[in-house]
Amino acid sequence: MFNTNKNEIKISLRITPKSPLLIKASDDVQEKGNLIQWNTTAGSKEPFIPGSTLKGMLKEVFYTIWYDHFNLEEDKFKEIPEGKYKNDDKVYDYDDYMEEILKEKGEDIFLEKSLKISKLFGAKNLKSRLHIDDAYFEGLGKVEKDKPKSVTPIDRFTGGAVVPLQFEYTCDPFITEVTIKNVEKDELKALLFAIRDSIDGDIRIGSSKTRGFGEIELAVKSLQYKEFKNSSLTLDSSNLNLDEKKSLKLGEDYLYKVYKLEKNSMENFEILKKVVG
Amino acid sequence: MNFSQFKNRYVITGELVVENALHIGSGKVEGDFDSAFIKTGENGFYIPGSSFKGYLRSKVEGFLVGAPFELKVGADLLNEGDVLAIFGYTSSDISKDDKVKERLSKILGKDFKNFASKLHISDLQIVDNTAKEVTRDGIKISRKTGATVKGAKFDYNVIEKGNRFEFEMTLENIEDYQLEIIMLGLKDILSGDLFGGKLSRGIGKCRLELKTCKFVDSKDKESLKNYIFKGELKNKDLNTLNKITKISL
Repeated sequence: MFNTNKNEIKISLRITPKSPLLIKASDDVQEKGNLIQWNTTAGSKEPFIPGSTLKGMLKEVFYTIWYDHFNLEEDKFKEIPEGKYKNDDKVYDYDDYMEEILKEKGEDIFLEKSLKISKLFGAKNLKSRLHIDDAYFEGLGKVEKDKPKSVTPIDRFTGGAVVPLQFEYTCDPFITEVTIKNVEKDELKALLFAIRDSIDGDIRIGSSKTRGFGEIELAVKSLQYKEFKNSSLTLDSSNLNLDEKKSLKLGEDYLYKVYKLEKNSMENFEILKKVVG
Repeated sequence: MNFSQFKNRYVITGELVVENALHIGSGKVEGDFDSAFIKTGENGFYIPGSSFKGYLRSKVEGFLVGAPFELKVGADLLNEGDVLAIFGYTSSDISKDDKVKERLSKILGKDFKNFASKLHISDLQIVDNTAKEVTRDGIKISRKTGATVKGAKFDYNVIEKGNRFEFEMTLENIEDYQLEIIMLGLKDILSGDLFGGKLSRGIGKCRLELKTCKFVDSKDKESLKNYIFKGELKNKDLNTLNKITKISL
């Protein structure tokens, strides 16, 4: 699966916070006091959203969409405690179980039916095909440090207020890039659903989500689709432009063609629907 | 083709630039960290040559093994045998496929049980010795409860963006079309590609900047003389390296 080059899609996403957004810095970095700080790079102190946060968010959406649709069986294993997995009255550990299934059903069936999520997002012994860059500010975005939002916790014992917690936050857009190798149409459709959900206001990331923080809207900024010769998935390329510079020609033929889509975001969403089918 | 005769030698140098953050695990738990960046001594961060060679090999395999197209040189179809002839193999690595064996004996002129790699990649040392590693945290979220899973916190060290690693690749007795295959493999990373560990967590984008290519060819007697007696190599224009002319589809 990883040896074969079929196609590769790169989607540049704009993440616009619809409510204050806070990605907390780790506890070791937090200064003492009541101010909860934003996550930054160590050297240049540049705020960023870690790729793992975004990947977790996407995985959640994909899981919700695919769970019933593909009858995912992954959860069956998770219910069994202490890392033991049971099937037909036999108890396996996770690795043995995977091996047994692979032998029994063949790699493709196993991946297709049981662990569609792991096939895309990776698992203990499967490499992820999806990569999301850390997201950085699109322009000169900034984190509000001078006028932080405060939350006043109530002491459950006395009923009185305790010293308010101050939260740094931002409302400026970020940019990230999603890369999926050997992408399938189902995966693109689910990604489209994730974008739609975010437009509907259903997606939140980061800290204090239950306090109204972290609502985000995703928009496609640009799309690049690399298709190798004789590839199996062909997107409707009538809405995409061939990028001659990035495509690779060997003699008269193309080894791979690179298509590009660069228009404003909402229009892209509609075009994407057409492209994905 | 054999190693007892000197045919040519290429030395390609450059720098690998980290574009967001890079993790190459040392495989050891160090202090409080679950996965530290590999290093020698105090701050001697480096990328093992084997990591880069593995990356390059997997890229080349992507073109030659199980690809939905066939690469040709003249009338010859390229296959996994070409990967083995460049990257070396021992008897256990040889595929059982007859086509691969046939191709291999055609390239090497004989059936060899093992064959040394024609390509050597030095360990990539960090340019800035004062660079520091930075810790990143990871946490697992339960899909059932939506909350964090107990005991699922882990951390790993990364080298942050802007850092550079020195790259040097030496090729010996290489055919022109094999050099083109290697350049095909490098094509992605020259414009930025994923490299190293923890890729799906948002890090690992690196770009290779080629700086010099020096070579000597035994057909050119004058430069061979300079190489043997003075140790001098000729400069090659980097743009010519990027031109793929012999391989077709």
